[in-house]
Amino acid sequence: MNLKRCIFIAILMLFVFSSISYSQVETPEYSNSKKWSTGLGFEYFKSTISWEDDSLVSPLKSYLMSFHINYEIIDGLNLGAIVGYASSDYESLIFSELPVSLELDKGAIGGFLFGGEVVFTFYRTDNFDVSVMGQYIYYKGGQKQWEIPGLAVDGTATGKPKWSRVILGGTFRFLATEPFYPYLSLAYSPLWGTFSMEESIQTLNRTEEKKISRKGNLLIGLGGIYEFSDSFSLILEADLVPYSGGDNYNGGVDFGAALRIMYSF
Amino acid sequence: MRKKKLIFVGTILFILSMSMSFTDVTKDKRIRRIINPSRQDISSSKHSYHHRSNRHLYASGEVLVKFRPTLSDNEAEALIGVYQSRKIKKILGLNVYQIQIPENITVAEMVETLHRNPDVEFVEPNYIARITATPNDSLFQYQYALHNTGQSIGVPGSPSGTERADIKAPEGWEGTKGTGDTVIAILDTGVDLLHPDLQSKVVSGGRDFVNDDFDATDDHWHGTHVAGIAAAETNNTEGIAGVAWNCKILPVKVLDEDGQGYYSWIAEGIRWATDEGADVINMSFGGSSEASILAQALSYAKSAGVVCVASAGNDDDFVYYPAAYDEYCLAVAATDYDDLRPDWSNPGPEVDVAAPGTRIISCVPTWYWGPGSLPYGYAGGTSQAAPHVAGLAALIKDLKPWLRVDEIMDVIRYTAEDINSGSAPGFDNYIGYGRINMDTALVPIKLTASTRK
Repeated sequence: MNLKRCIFIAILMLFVFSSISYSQVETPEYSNSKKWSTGLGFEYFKSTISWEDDSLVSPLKSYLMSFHINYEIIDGLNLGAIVGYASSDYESLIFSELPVSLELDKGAIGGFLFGGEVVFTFYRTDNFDVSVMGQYIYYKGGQKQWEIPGLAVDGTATGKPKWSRVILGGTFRFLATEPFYPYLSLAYSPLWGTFSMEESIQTLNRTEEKKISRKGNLLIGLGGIYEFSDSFSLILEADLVPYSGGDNYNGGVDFGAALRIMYSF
Repeated sequence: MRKKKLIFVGTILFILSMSMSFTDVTKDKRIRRIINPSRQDISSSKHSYHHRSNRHLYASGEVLVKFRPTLSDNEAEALIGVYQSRKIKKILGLNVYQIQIPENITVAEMVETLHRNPDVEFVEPNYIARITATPNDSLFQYQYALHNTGQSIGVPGSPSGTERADIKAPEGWEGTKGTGDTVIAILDTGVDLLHPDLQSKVVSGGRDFVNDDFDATDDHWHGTHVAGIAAAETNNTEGIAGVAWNCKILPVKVLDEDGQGYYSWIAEGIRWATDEGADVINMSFGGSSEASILAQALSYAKSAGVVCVASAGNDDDFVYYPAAYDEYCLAVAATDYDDLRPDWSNPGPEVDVAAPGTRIISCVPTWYWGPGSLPYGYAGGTSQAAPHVAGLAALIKDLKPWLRVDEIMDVIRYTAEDINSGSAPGFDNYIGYGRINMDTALVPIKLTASTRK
């Protein structure tokens, strides 16, 4: 049902865009001669991650706050750098290779994120443009410590997460509705990483690193750019990532939402 | 013209974003809530319900909901219809509706959605309860050491135990019951190879160092009793349950019919069991003298990856050998059905942990009571405590074969329950780190927000 809904929405959006673009008679004024842009981004996404040879899944929820700086090196080709802070909340990760097995029930871990992006608009008409984009984000969480309850002695567990996310895809943007430009994107977007859990109980010291990866890799993005002025714009995007079920779990759709405020100069 | 289009596109986007339900902004529109549940919370609930095993934790396709008393029956049923659901029945007396939910929504989603409705007092999945891994052995009810419900300890008139003064075996078996690949060598008076609760668990006729042959048949009763505690056949509808549910027994006779044995027999037995592939060696005996031959045999076993467990002794004296070889052996003291240390259990700094050792029911040789009697009996002592620990060591080794001997010994020590923390907090000479706890040792410990440092 979720997948059907996604397809329905995508088709509806395409229909809406094309129907509007077909009737468009005026030339859009969407153009920007400014080379630099900078801004702040906020993003939330929930990913269903699989681990232990795909036999188990658990949710990963992340909040990202990022600073962006972009530069248009040639017409249509933008390069950008991303730095920021992210909080990732892993749930229900079981570390069964440690001497005393541990289950991370819940726990958001803050950390830094770095990344870059490139956008190349290779086709443009008065009504729409089509671009390809790539983005890479690397999140490195800080250390988080827990006391291990129920032991005869003191014990601590230290968790260190990290993940990477890539988005590679294309965007179809409608330009005829100035100052609002809706777009639809379709991308290949894997997310993978590790969660390292170090256990320290007196003489017992071991570390288990668990590899995680997002179940779904296909990202469907729906968004819009609103230009407040020649310099300020607001970008809103909602993402859907469908994934298939496995032996022990059902399929579903993950989602995310992003907001970015940009200033061009 | 452009403005109209902008309004149109904006409207479409608004509708779409609502249908994708990032948030439920309208508190009083119940239909919207049911159609557009918030996925971000729902999915996490779903996974946390399901991820730990393949077994279903609740009934699929239905939930239990109780509406606030302000709602009449008609209104409640109308509301159920609003959620595209159907009443299965109303549980009388509790005013709880069992409702069938639409196929296109998960139980977790429905719970999450209904939970936001102010007319709902509570809503939850129709959870499935199961007995824990409780074996069906007929005498399991008398095994307070494994699962203490506060039952009477033995025949009518016997004292009752304290609830949960046990090693938490059923909980631990949820983590693992072991496999037939892990072998516990019972160095003792031998094992009754034909005992109905041991026959299938014994890997071979063993080795008899007393009579120097390969028939480790028990001519006492002690070894059979110890073997039963460690690994009697479990869930076979008769007799007792062994701690190491599925693990095997290697009988090694190093004590004679009077329960005595030379250190040379014991050392040979340790070495033979090690070479035969034993994973754990249980030694429910002790001598007061230190001896190099014993230490070297134990060292050989440890270097080969064998976990050695021995009883501390029953004289309220110092810890006997081999248990006193701290580096190579887990020394086991005794506790009773109230989680108290009996005063005969030997204390000393070498004591690592304790386990129940008072009035322990287990196997005795089939000839022991004579015809017509069940081959089971009660016995007490650190001899009975040690095989509980040996059974746990076997389960840990089976579950985590990559752990070193030292690590397995430490897991058993550190996951123990400090049952005398009121009078002697932390490690002490009486029960060491505490009474062993199979739940903590075998089942993942939850790290929650409250345990965050």
